[in-house]
Amino acid sequence: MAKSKLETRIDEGAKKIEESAEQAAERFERGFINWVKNDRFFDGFRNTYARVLLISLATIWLVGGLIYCYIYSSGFFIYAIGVALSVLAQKISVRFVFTTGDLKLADEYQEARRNRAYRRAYSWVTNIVTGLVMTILFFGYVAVYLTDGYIPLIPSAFEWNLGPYEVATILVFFMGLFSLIPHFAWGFKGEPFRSKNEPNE
Amino acid sequence: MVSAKDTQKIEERIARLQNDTSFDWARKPAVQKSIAVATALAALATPVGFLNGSITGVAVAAVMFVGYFILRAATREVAELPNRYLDERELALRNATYVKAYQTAATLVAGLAVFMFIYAISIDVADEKFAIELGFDQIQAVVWLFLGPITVIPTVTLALKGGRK
Repeated sequence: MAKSKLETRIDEGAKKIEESAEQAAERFERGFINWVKNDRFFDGFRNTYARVLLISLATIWLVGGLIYCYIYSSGFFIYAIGVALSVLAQKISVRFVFTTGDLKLADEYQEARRNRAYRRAYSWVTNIVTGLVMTILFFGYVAVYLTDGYIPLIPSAFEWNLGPYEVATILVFFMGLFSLIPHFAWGFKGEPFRSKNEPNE
Repeated sequence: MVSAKDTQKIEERIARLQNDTSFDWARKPAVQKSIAVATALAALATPVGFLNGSITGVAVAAVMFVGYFILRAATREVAELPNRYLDERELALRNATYVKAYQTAATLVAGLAVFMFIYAISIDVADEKFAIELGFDQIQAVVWLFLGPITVIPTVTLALKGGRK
């Protein structure tokens, strides 16, 4: 059956809207990639001194916040927001090179350095997680000793009381840890200082 | 510091490893991928095995380690060797493998943390205190829950990518 004039017009209109939406998405993607690669506004986040400062602050916030929130059961939202801001600052500092996916944000040098950073990050995370498990076991044994007065080779049970608040804090800590470690493993060396008048190479 | 004698021993071992043909059977793509999948499954099953008793746990962990060492030999230990023993292509392959390995490990840990969070909330809603009470086997399960996957993920990922022939 032949389409009515109205139906044809609706089809054409829908097609045009679809095309312009696709074009807008492409323009946005190109604009974003261009901004990531050439941005000068956040240069203050990218030099070596800034990277040392950002890494130090993020580490103190991640670990200190975990201890504070766990012990006092307060400040969770500020902790979570602080961790998210630390991750964002790190992403800006390395020009989003750890964002893998369809967007091609890294050049060849950045890709090689990123992959090397992931390898270092993996070995750091392995050590951190193993260390954490061993620390928890150590405190478990200390707790058994304080209760029973001796340390059995195979204790009957360790007890660890957790509320949702503590679990949520630990969750944010692990999310933050796994997001931040590759950025830390990227290294302190940042982009060279440039005056605002110096053009991009 | 490593002495010259030790360095020579390491270099001899690596030279043997690079010329090894005894694991050629495990380097066939289909066999290598099957062993990699079996090792990954054994790594995930080890904590469950320990929850069913020490003997079951040790048996499953043994399967994981057998698979892991076969894969290490089959991929000529590219995932573990120091940089100076790898050529440029192998270094690139190894580093790219760690990108995937890191993302896999992060996903596993994040999944576990989210599961714990949902479980803790459901317990709280039921007005109970979320208390973890761990016996010896449960402690083994927790340790292997992290240690097993973290140990095998890079080698398994490399084997699934094809490794070194």
